[in-house]
Amino acid sequence: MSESLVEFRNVSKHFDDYTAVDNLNLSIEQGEFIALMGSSGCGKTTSLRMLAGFEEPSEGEVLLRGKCINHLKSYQRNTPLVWQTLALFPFLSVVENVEFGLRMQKVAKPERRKRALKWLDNLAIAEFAERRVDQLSGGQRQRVALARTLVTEPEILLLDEPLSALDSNMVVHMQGVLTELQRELGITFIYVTHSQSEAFAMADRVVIMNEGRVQQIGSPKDLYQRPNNHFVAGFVGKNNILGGQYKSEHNGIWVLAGNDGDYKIKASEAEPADRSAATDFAISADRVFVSRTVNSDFDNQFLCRLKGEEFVGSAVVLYLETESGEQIISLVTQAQMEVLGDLKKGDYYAHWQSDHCHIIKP
Amino acid sequence: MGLISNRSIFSAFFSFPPLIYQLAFFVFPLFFLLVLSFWSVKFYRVQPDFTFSNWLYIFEKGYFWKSYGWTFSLAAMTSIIASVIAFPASYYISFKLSENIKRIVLLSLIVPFFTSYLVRIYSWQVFLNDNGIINAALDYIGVGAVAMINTKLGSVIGYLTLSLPLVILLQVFSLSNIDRNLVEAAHNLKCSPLKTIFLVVIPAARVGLVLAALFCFILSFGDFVSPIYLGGATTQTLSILIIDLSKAGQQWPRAAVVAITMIVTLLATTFLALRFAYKGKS
Repeated sequence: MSESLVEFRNVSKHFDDYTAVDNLNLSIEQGEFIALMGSSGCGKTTSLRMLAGFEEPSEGEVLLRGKCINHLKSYQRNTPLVWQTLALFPFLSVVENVEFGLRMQKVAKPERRKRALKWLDNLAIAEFAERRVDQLSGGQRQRVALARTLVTEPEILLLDEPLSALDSNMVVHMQGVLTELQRELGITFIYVTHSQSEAFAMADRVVIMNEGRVQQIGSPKDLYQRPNNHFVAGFVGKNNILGGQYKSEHNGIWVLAGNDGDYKIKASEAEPADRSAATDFAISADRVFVSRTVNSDFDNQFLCRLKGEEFVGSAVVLYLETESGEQIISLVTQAQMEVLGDLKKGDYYAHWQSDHCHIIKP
Repeated sequence: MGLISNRSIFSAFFSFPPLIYQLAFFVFPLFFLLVLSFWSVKFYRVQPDFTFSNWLYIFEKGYFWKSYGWTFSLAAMTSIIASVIAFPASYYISFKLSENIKRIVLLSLIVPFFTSYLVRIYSWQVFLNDNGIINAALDYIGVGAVAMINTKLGSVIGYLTLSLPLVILLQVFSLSNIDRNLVEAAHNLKCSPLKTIFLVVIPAARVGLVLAALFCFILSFGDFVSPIYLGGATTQTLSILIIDLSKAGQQWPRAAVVAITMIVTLLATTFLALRFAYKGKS
């Protein structure tokens, strides 16, 4: 087995009586773009800081190329970080900022100036080389911070919410710059963010964390289509979470007794060991369709009434309620809305395929 | 409309008293000092006149320039010594102490100001005297007595007593304002902790460090308590010169010339120091 570039092995970090990271296990391969995602306090930044050498794990080991680096200080390892605040040196010019790492490596002055300018040129900010950092725009400063870390040609780059201070147009632009850079250089990017759109747009794999624990690791598509627990189902996309008591199984389709009758769901790898317990499943809002009549193409259908609707651009989120009071959300297009007509009048059904349901852990 | 005029009346109400105070007790006396330097003294009485003789008299005297040189260099030396002594303490207080302990330490740095400077200088005499505590100790270990009081060293110790707590306080405030991420960023780029102090911490805190040294210079340059009671007037500083001139023969106009020279020196030093502090900043 080839060894991973970075490995967190049973890593925990406690601050006094607060556990920031709880038994983290994660392997990161060479050349991967991996995002650690979660809301604030979920442990993503602490994990990154342990890798960068600013925090020492309370338990477990952080390995870089198979070697434990727990006790190495930040200046003893090669794990450059791009800060949320960028942390550019305000008393140095742009090019001096970029040179800083090379200066520490004792690269001769003409050589390091050349390499710094080359990176400024790569990132299209060569014209600002002699400026002070505070004379640049947010996006330009972002590039300086990237150049300052990349100029040392690291094999890994850590990014801590680097785009959170930019306006939304710039964020999309910089996402493009980052993905392109990562692909060109083939170095590993570990990207910490609270933003689902940033993580899903750029990362090969996303690690979803909550309260110090990893909830799920997978490709953006995996996480979106197959959230494996309540937290991820609630955190990623728009999911309905329903549940019921196991009744029977037929051709890989389970029947659950729910409040409004039987739910039919596809058995999956997440199947619980104990079928007698209540089973929950998730069904994405965009897989829930609404029509005026019963539609036999779908094996789940329930009579609903409208509780509210919310326009989100070209789509509409419908907040529905079944006869027993179960809440269901459905994402429909404006075109579908026109076919449905006024939902305040008449009956209609929410329906979905058992294929699109999958079991989640509590 | 009503709101704006109300507000400007309100702000005027609060900004006028300090303005009037400044005019009455700073600008006007300063102007009077300037005028006074052109007056003359006849039969030990100061009388209005317009003569350059006081300026010529003072600037022609070798002892004035000698005194100027010593005052300036002792003050400059004190601000360098104070900055160097204070920095490790300030660094430790700002970066290593927890917030609670830091607060206690900062409070203890304010405590010296509770006691009159004069009292503190007198108490130094007990330590620095030829048969004082320090010399007794030196004698005991066989080094023998070292003259400390009535020397330039005594003056500098006095200046430090006056300014060191303030220098530390000002340094701590500027060091505490440094973005911690800058320090981490330096470490992250393989800069050792010691190098980080010189390459990141000091440049980032430059304005505050220069201001602290400047304050120390200003306090030492004008002080007359230390040179009299600890320096023993062995070195006639400009402050002592002013006292001597005004006492001996009522030479207030000549004292005014010295005072104005001091003020101009401090203004020039402040200007240069601030220019250096803010160099390359918007």
